[in-house]
Amino acid sequence: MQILGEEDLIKYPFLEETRQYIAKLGLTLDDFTLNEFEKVIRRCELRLMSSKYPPELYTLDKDTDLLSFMLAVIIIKASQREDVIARFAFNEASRAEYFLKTERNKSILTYILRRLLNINIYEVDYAICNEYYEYAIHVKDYVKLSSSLKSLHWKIVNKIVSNGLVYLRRQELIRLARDKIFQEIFKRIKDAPTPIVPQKLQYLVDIVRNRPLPKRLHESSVLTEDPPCVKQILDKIKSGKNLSHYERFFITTFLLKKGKSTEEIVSLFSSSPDFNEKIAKYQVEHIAGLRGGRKRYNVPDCKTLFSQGLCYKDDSCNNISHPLNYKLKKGDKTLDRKRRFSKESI
Amino acid sequence: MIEKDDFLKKAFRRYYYENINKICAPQRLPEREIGYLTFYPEKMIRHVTLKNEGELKALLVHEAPKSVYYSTAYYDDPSAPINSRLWKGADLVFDIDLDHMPFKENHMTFIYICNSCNSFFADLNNKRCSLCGSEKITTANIPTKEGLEYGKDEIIRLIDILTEDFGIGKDKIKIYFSGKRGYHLTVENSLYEDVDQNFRLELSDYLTLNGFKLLNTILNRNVPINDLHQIFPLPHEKGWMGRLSKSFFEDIIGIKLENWDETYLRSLLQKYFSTITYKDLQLSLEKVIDKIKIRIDTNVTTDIHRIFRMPETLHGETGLLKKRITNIDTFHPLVDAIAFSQEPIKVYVDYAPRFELNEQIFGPYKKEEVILPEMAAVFLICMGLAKPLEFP
Repeated sequence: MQILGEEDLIKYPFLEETRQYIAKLGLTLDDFTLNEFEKVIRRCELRLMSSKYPPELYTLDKDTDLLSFMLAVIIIKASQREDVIARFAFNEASRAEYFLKTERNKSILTYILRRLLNINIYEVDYAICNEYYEYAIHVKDYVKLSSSLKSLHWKIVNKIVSNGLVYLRRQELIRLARDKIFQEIFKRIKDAPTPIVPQKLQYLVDIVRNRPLPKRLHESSVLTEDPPCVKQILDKIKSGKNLSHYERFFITTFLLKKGKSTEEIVSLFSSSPDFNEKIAKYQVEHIAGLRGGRKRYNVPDCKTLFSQGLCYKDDSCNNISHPLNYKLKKGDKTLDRKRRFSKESI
Repeated sequence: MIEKDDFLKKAFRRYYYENINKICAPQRLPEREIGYLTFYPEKMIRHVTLKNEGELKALLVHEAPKSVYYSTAYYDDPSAPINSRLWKGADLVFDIDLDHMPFKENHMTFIYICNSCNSFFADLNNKRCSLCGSEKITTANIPTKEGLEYGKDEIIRLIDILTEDFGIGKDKIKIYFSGKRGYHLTVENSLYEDVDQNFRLELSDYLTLNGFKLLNTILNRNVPINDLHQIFPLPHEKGWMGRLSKSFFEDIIGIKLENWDETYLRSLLQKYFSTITYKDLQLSLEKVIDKIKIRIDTNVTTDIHRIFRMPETLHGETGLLKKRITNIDTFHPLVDAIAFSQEPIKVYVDYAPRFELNEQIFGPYKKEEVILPEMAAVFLICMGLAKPLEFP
């Protein structure tokens, strides 16, 4: 079995071994107020304040790195700023991704990827169309790991799938690992109890608290225009065409969410050639949660609409993942950046 | 005049009574939700739980349902409201219906019924009834032997992908004639039983090649077309790449794949690519994709709470059985799925095109009294094309 060295822990400080390593040092939070931890505090500040990590954080500085990571986690938790948790988790995940990409020893890389992803990873040797595949993972694991990645590149239809395994290039697996690291760090900090920070370190918590708030997605604009997928269906209704079952389901959930009443929606359907008021009323009320299982159905997301052949994505969609998030883009640079931050890049 | 539903309910009940030993409950019956459609009033009864096969048999004989369904999902308490029951997993299910296939004249016979004046037509002009001008038209269709044969090919290719690409054992796969226009495939007890809707959406897109972008990898613009033969996928490759290549050699280059030698295949490609442009190649590959994709009904595969027709039960719209297929090559849907007898029955047929059942040809009929074997009489009455004039 591969044993992780100290250097590996510094590269991947979120691993369980870090906690064990630090526990052995027997430190308390009060100790960090001592002068000898000055360097740790500086490094921790870098971790807390950077919107993007500076080059120093991509070099290795033994104990300073491990301790500053742990301290940053505690401070961020104490600040109770969820956006900063996400930013920190993203930066740490990107930092780990950098080290994974530059890892020269393949057996260490494979071992670390296995540890990070906590799944079976097979080393393979397969090439096709000038692409070289080094790893394979089970398709069930793959779909879970790639579920938050929006680009078509990550769909299994665009992967080599054989005997239950998805074949991946090295950088693809590392990219999946980055996402997993992000989620793990985010979840771990979010679920942790809020710590009590000594007075002398309180200023660090304040630094985090005083960071500017990100512009909220729904704050500046309301949905005034319909996304192309909705327009397409409304046009179909206007031109007197019958809708498929799923088109009806989607448009009903969408309009209900926009505040339309069940009566308004039923009357919208009345121009369809196959309109049957009794059935339409029943279905719409069912979707609204007024009948049957009393479950109010959610508006399907872009991924589901794509699979149903109902996605008419154009530039105006700007990479949204849910039709209700439409109309939050044009000219809004803050939002544009925010999306780019979560977008994968290979 | 005998009520149509009364006739059918009696016929269905008699069938279930006489053939009750052929009924075999789906596995883990108590964990599944059962639903059924009654003849009169026509009503869907859902959230039923059956403890064992005996209860299922009793339900079939007692209720004589128009159609019977079971959930593909397993629940802790299938009769509880959908929000308060625990979803434990679901079979993978696939529906291949002639409705989703590229339309071919000889696959289905269409019948148009005007709901306003109750007339029947073989053709529809301008989406209107040619007698009363109404636009309220419903369509019925009868699959032909050729159409159902065509659907088999889709099932064979689906099995190939499930076993080759997803590693599902053949012993986990069951295939059925749906009782109407197509085929059902069910995967039970596989490690995919617990996959969520997102996985099922991905699987469905994989099979239908929805969002397929690998052509960009094949048509690598950095490689001139004269060198493309060096990297073009070969038929032995894994997954869709191999299938796409195989169809390219067979359907575009036009050779029968017997010699799989790499040098030989690459030389064929080199020769072929020297005669075409990138654009030609792209169009050819798009044709190949359209040919090799599997035309499943996405809604069926991706719905984790679906209720699905129960095997060995009667289809209320045809009177045929949803029938398990053990050998697809020798299976003949319009023979093997017949439930009813040859006993003659007098019916009044409003309209029926020429159709085939049990290797016998019937019709066409128009507004006439006909004596038909029970199987054909039930078929036409189920389709709403005939009315019974007597009980068997």
